[in-house]
Amino acid sequence: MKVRTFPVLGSFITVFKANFKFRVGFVLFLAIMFFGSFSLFSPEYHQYLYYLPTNHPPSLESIDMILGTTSNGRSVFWSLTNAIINSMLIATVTSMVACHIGLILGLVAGVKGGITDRFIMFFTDAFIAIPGLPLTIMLVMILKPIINLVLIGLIISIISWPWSSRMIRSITLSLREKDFIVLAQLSGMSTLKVIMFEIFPHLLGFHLTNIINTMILTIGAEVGLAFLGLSILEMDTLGTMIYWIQRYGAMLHNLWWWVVPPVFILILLFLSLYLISAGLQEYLNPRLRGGR
Amino acid sequence: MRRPFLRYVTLRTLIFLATIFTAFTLTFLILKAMPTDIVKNMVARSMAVAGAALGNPEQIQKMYDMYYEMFGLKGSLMEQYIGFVRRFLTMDFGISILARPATVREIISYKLPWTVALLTFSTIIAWVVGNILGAVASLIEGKKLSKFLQALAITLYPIPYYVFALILTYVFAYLIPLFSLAPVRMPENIFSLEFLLTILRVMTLPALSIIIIGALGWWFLSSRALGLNILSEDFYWYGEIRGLPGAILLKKYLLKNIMMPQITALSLNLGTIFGGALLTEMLFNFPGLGLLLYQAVNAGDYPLVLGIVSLSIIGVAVASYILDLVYPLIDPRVRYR
Amino acid sequence: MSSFPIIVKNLSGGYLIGLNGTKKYVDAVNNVNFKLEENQIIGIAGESGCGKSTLLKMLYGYLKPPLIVRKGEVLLQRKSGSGYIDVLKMNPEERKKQVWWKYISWIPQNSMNVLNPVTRIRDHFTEVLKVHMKLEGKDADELAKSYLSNVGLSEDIMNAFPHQLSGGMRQRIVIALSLITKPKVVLADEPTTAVDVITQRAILQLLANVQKELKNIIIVVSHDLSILAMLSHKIAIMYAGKIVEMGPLDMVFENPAHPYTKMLLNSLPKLGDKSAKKGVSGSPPDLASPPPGCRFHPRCQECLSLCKSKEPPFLEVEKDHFVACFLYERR
Repeated sequence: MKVRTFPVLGSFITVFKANFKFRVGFVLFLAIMFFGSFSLFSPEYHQYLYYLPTNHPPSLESIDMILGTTSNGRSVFWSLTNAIINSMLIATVTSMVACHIGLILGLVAGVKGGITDRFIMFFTDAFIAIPGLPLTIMLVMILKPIINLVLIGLIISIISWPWSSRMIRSITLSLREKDFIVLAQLSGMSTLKVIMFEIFPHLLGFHLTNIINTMILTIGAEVGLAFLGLSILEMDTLGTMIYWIQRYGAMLHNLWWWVVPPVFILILLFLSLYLISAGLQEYLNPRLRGGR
Repeated sequence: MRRPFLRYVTLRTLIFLATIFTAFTLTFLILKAMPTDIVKNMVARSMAVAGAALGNPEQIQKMYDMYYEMFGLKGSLMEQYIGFVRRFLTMDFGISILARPATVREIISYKLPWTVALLTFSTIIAWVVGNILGAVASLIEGKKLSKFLQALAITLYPIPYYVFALILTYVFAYLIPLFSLAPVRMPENIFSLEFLLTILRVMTLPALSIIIIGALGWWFLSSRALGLNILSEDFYWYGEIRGLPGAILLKKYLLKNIMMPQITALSLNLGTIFGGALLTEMLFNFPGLGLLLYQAVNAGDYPLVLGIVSLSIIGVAVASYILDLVYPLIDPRVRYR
Repeated sequence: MSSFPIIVKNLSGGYLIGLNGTKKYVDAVNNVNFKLEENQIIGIAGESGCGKSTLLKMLYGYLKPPLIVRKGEVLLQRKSGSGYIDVLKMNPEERKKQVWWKYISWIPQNSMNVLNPVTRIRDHFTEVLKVHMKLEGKDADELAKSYLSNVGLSEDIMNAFPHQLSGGMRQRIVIALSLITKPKVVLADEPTTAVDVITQRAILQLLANVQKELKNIIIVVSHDLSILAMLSHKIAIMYAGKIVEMGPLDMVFENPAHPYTKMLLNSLPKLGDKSAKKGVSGSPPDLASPPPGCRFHPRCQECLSLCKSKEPPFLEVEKDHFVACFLYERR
């Protein structure tokens, strides 16, 4: 659909120019990802334990030591850059899977109505009531032998998709009643076309914000899991870094160069994603835009 | 009993049952979907830990049998499923490795009251305080205090709250050692002052953490949004125009109309709230199910983990179910159709 | 010497709107003057946007920004009989406690939706009775029931919630609520706009009956001349924020003085009249920048050159029948 890509870029630029929060958030996010991209250059040895001197404060000797080392002799810098990428990877998997399942189910339920709607909602409501954390913990624990980044993403998406489905359905329902939809249908547009060209553009805004919010939740969930040692401890994620920090009592031992960077980046990441999401929401909701 | 209400109850009950069975079935399916070596591997690892810990060959055999039966290594698919579900429903997972020789059921029932107490107490207070704050904020919208609270809530809300909990820990356990994180020993006499004080000492930080994040975060924001909506409604204006005093407007017009949808919101969010409480327990060494779960996971005590998860699923489903059944009795718009 | 429960002097007010930095003043009510004797229904007629709703708000003292009072007084006679309360000069809290629902009450336009969905009908009454008449419990209930039966509703509905009742019933409840504290003046804002013709008739009948019984003043505002004709004793025609004609109903209808009134009456269908109806041509002026002189002059068939620059005075054409028009100025 070649014609459609231009409007996407155009709309992005519009939102960027228009909304302060979005601008700040997006730039911040880019900065963080740029920082994380250095991980592409990480030397092979960065994963080896005790390769570098332990508990060494930051020094400018080499790139490895820019942020000092951890208690198990690894470079904080390389760990952090990889952690950013890995955490975002998990977040992307979860949001892509969960939000799209939610989108499809919510759309179908909202548009079709009747029994299909009831059935889908029944299924969704059943899922919503399941307490996410214990279920996730159990699944990760059981699947430990085969766990990897993608799998964690998939597991977390099990608990995130019901909310998307519900929201999309309610938006679809309220849109369905709107006059221009009825008009489109009355003038002979097929249901599929109505969905694609009339309803979907309105959902797109919410869908995007939903994706970003899910990313935020996933990063948070991964950190939560890592706390319990339930993430992939052999890989670097923001969560596992915090796990190791806690495990080695880095706070008590005043290893600030190890503690501060990941926590700082974590907070910044949350903030930037939140600003992007809030900015987008503000832009999309004409009432909040301040009287255009 | 009116027909629509009956229909509602039936539907809700079905959803309740569906929730529980979906969760269990999902787990079952995931286990079944895995190659058998994984399962065998898990059993083997667990047995190794059990062997070292339990020592008693008879108990070890019992545990092995349980695993075998549960994880589908014997019997037809249907038999496996039924056995699986039965165990989950009755929380019959045999002996806990961690708490030997106590069974999983026993140790859970010992720790359960703690979690229930913390959870109920903190959640209710957070809900009430958050809603009232939000309602008041919507009334004084535009004034400095409202903007301040709003900004505070927006900053608190996206930050996952164990960060906040961590900060609280750091401040109150290390900086100002008011509360210790050491495991607590309960005094014998339930009715003694010492008992009460111990409970206070143990519960305060975790409860505070949950309450502040809940009240100032989500409940505040949603309540304020609802409040703003209600303030623009015709019936609120009519209340004002009749010269009704601010107190009545706040209580009977604003709060009452906010509480209704917020009860539904509570019911929907129970899963998340529960998870948050568990996490808080782990952070503050609170002697409830959360801490137990953490210890079980770290010790590789699969039976205990399964037991706690099973209880969580059933517990949240029951609480949500009760709440959803009570709600129509409170909201006049639903009760009288 | 008859007493006047309500006197309005030189009332002017409007909306201060700030759009993109520039401030605009919408002159919604300009120099309104009248005093009303007891025991009558006065109808205020006018097109949408003529300022009648704003006038009601000002009479009531419901001054939420951007509504401001430029000048003038709204005086309500004290219950003790001596002296007047200046509604607009009071501070809002006092006004709420002492004036609202004690001296003056309001029947809102959207009566269907003004009742609190989570409060029973009984409690709606108790709220008002407790605050304004210090009446509670059984006494309050009895009073409420009597008023309910006055408006034609059975006492069974006391326990009901608003959504269980029909729109018409809710409207009656609102009317009962507005009368129960026996205010001297009742404002009715478009009481029949949102309902069908049959309910309209019932409500008008109801209003007429209660007024006859309680002998208060009801000020009815509507764009529908025909319903005002059925209800009012006195009628005022409002145009672009000003009252252009006022007088007893029959006089104004049979002898309309102002060109605008003539236009309005001409557009009403009459029994037996088969001639084509002429609508009122043109449209009301933008109140942010009203035309100079007489505000009606751009649409007036009988416009004089004087009308374009000077504002017409309020002149008496017959007994109690006033009009703001240069056509009647005797030289």
